[in-house]
Amino acid sequence: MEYHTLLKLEAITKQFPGVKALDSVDLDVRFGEVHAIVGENGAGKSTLIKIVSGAYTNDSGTIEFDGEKIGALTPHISLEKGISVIYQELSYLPTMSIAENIYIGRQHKKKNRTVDYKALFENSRRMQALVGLEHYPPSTEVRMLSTAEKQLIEIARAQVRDMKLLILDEPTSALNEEEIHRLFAIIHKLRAQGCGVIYITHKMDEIFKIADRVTVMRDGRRILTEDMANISRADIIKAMVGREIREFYPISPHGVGDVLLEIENLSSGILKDVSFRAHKGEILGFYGLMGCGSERAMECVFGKVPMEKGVIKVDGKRVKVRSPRDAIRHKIAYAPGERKTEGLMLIQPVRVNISCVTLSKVKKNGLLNLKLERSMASRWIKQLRIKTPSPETPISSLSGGNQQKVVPAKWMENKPRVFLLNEPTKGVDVGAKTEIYMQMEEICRNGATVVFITSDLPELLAISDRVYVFHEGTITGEIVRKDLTQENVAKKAIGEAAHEKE
Amino acid sequence: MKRNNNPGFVRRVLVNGNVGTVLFALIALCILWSSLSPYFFTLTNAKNLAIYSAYLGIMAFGFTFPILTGSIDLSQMPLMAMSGMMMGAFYRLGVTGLGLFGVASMTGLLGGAINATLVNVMNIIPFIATVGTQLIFRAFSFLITDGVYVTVKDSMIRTIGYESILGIPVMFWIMLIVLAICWFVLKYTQFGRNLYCVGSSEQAAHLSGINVKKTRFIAYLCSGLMCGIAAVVYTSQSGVALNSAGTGAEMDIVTAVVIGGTSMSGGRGSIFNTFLGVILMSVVANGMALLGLNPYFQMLFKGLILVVAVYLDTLRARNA
Ligand SMILES: Nc1ncnc2c1ncn2[C@@H]1O[C@H](COP(=O)(O)OP(=O)(O)OP(=O)(O)O)[C@@H](O)[C@H]1O
Ligand SMILES: [Mg+2]
Repeated sequence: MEYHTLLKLEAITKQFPGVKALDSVDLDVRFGEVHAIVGENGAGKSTLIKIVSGAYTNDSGTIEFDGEKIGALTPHISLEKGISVIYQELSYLPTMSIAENIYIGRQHKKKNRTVDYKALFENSRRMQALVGLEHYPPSTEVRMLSTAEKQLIEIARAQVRDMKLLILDEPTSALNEEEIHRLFAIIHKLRAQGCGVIYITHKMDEIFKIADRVTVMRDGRRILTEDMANISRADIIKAMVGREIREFYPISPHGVGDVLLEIENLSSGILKDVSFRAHKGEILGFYGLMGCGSERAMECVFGKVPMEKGVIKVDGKRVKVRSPRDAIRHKIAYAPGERKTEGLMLIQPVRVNISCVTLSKVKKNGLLNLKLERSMASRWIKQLRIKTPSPETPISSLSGGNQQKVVPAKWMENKPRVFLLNEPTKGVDVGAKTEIYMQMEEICRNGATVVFITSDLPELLAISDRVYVFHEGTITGEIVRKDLTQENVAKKAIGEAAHEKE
Repeated sequence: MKRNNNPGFVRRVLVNGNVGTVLFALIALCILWSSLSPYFFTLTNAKNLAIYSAYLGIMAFGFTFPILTGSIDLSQMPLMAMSGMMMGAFYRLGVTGLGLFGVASMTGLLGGAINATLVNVMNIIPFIATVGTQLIFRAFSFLITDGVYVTVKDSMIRTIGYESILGIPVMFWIMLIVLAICWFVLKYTQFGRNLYCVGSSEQAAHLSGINVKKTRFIAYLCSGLMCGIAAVVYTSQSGVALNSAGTGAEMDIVTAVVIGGTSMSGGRGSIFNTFLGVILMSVVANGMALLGLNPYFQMLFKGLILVVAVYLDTLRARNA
């Protein structure tokens, strides 16, 4: 079979202060192929695609696109040539309409220089149909859509321009099964049209479903590029981490004790009269589609959003939680899902982010002991294998997955009794995921309870002792470990069989 | 294709805004001034510089606190004037020595508390709230003594104004002590740390259990207190409490802090940055005065420096 090369990178090198992010990396992407890039957190995947998109400039190396040598890529040139990137941090204008978002920078003007909304909406409807969003009026504000739908808007936007290469950086980290399905269907269609796709992910299952070839990166170097047909899952993981590791979920045989956290008749926002409880030594999973209310429930327990009605009990005693500080006083911790805005202080060093909850632990005579603080930070950096030049590096210059690891770390140090985690392993690599699970286990073993939200079904099934499934603001199912199956969970998540609840 | 991502040298030096940059500018400026005026490198002028930078420095240290949280206090100069006038009024009533110091500090704290309440309890945008109190404090500094200045013939005030220790004016020592205390507070106390956290991300700080409003409240108290201390220093320069103290120099503080490399958007900066900024601004002002530059030109240059400083700050924020 003969291939035509769409994108060819040769000996790309990129140096950041203190880190060689890319070290002489080669990559070639063919027309009509889905090319997966995998690697541990901080391996250089995002940096590589940011060079292709023109967001960063390489220090050395050459770029060839569609048979043409390209000198310096800028975001503008890259777009012009038909390269579209969908970053993990989506870029959209929340209060503008779907149509305006899709046709951003492309004008529909009438002769009198006013916007031609009729033509704009008509075109928008056509593009929406391509990505399966035809059921929305083009005037819908984008902020009303789910994360997955916002992603689809970006794909639609990319197709307005004559797209030859689509790059997706961890697109599924916040999507549920069904949404992932929809995304894959669109990728298949694009591939059939001859479009090249670069697909970055930490989910091994996905690459076997969607990719034609895979490139493994480690420490800024390309380790291998292989046809999917010729490589096994274990081989890929071995190439990623550089040694043999077992990909495993620590099974939870922990003895579940008394009820620790009890929520009765909680109403707030979308939540209607929800009750649940969590036991000592238990890992409790929350599952549901986007906007199902599970996140809201956590935010209420942590005092981030007010409750309209309801009672929170810890150890059988009613507690008042009006603010996160109240919650922390009751040893309740919450690792939010939005790391950039809620979980981290981006311009502060790793050290400050890790210690900010437990600053009193590094005080001596009422004053901060920076040495103690640094050693506390270093301990977590080692434990969770956070890749950073030093504890003093600002969080903003860490890779996405490494930033994510800091979010639970600062709470683990506080030894919470009730630990609420919202998507704790979003964008985290295989090895570090295991480490985070083990930390969750450790917390449970000390008699605490861990409640976590995930959109990753395999993860949910593997580590939960019990699962509550949410649907449109109510709990539609409580499933204990022995009944935990993919079908059971998925059915309840779309609201089926709600009456079966005992 | 090599190295084309590296910004040019000038850009790199300016935008990084580190201590080295400011020092570099400072040295360049000193060379320029001394080549233009033989008077620049004299002991008397060094004292002038020390005196000018003393009150400006104390205020700028205070200004750094709300700025680190991402808010602003534009009422400082009038608050200093008001504190000075209160001191004058109490001097007339027979208060002397440390009592005067107490009056000025308490007035400063009170002014700071008013700003803090407007911003944190009533949730008024800091910029508007403190421009409002800027007018109010200035008005009060005239109303307190019906618009007349007060000569303060107090021995403590005279000591601060005219004495030196080890050849360095007492008021400069006071500034250095305040500098040391502020540095310590920012680096080694929980409050200091909270300032940086709140300035980086209010939301993340709140969700980490930091009391955002309390932190910002205290930041305004610090800013006010420094105005009170600066009032003592300012008054002792001439031995007179002036209603119009600091008029026209309101923005010098902002310029000094920002040119030192402390970020207007919060979370980044230090007292040493501010200190260097203050020295730089003092040298600028001093040199222009030595050259006998037309006051309108002085105003023009100060304005230009402010704009450039803020521009560099936005560049820095974008690069981060
Ligand atoms: N703007 C930056 N400044 C400094 N260092 C950076 C910057 N961006 C990335 N790095 C460093 O470059 C390395 C590679 O980062 P990159 O974001 O490409 O990793 P990644 O493979 O995408 O990881 P992840 O799976 O966590 O997203 C990391 O060590 C990171 O610390
Ligand atoms: Mg990445």
